[in-house]
Amino acid sequence: MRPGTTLHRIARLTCTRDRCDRVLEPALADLQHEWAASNSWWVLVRSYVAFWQSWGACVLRDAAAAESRSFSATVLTALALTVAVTASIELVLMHGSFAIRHLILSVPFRVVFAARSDTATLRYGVALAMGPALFIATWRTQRVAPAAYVTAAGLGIVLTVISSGYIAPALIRLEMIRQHDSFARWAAQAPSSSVRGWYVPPLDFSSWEVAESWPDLIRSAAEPPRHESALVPWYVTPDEAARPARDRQEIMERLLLIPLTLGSAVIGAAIGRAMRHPSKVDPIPRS
Amino acid sequence: MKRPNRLSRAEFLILDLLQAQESFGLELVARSEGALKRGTVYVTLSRMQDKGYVTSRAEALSPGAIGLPRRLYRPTAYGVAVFKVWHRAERALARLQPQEA
Repeated sequence: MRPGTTLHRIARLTCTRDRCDRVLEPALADLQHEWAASNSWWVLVRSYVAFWQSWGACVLRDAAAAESRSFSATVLTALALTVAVTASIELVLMHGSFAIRHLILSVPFRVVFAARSDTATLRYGVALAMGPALFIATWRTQRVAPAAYVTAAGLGIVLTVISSGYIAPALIRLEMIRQHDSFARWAAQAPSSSVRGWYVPPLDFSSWEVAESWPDLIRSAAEPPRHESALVPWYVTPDEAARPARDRQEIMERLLLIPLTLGSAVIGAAIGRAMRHPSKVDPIPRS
Repeated sequence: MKRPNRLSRAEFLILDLLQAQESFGLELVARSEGALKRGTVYVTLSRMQDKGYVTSRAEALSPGAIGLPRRLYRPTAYGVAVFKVWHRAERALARLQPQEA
């Protein structure tokens, strides 16, 4: 086994030839020499970590080059515009006529729930918007280092994780609090004496995995089902028993947004490249 | 007026280590006793090549050897001169420091 072959291919694909020759190939050559001399897995792991650190520095330096900066600015602008348009469409559809809202709510459950709480754009829209953003940026930019695509995809992943894992749950919690408070106020002032003074239990977000941000979700998924009744301490409600599994499913669904982001970005870039006018200069040669 | 190139701590150390002998990147890390890191030494060496402080050559592979050729680094005459100037400046600044009572 000769380590470093795949890493060499990754380096050639993502960095300029100059960076490959001067930074990454010496790192890989030393990695291969050290492995051949020691055959130690710990040495190999350390060398891999060193390679990825060097690769990260090269990608950032290539992405900071002048031609890459204009590409990145175009990606960010196109992403912001696409997300704004999608959010506007979502608001219009979900707060427009009853007939349209009824039609929207017949699509698969997860999208429906997100659409009901006006967070479909935050959950799925940012990931899908990478496609149009990369398409526009690739189509318009003449020369761009491969590292610029890597940083654009990385930025898309970070934005997707933040929007689906922090912002969307925060908005859902705000909406739940608003509805809970509204119901509590109504119950306190209800005209009917049989309703007035109803006990309204406090909100418990742990039962609503879509309302939990990443730290709470991970903590909740790791927690075993709770025994909530002091009177019957061995009893676990069915809802509470299913909670960890629901949390794990929500974690998987949020993590699946990452390959969705990458796939969308790759497709957008490929289409943009295919549709680019032949007179436009090809990207900076990789090798 | 263009500012002269600076010499960072890592670059100074690399030039110091290269005064003695031509070295591979990992050899410099080993000889620095932890002052240089494996993940950053190659980036630093590349930057020093851009500044003209060091130059490198590919190691001649023995017949039948597989894998990428390693790179050997040595200081240029400019790099040696810059190192000597900074080394003298460092000693002069150390002499200027007030003596502790």
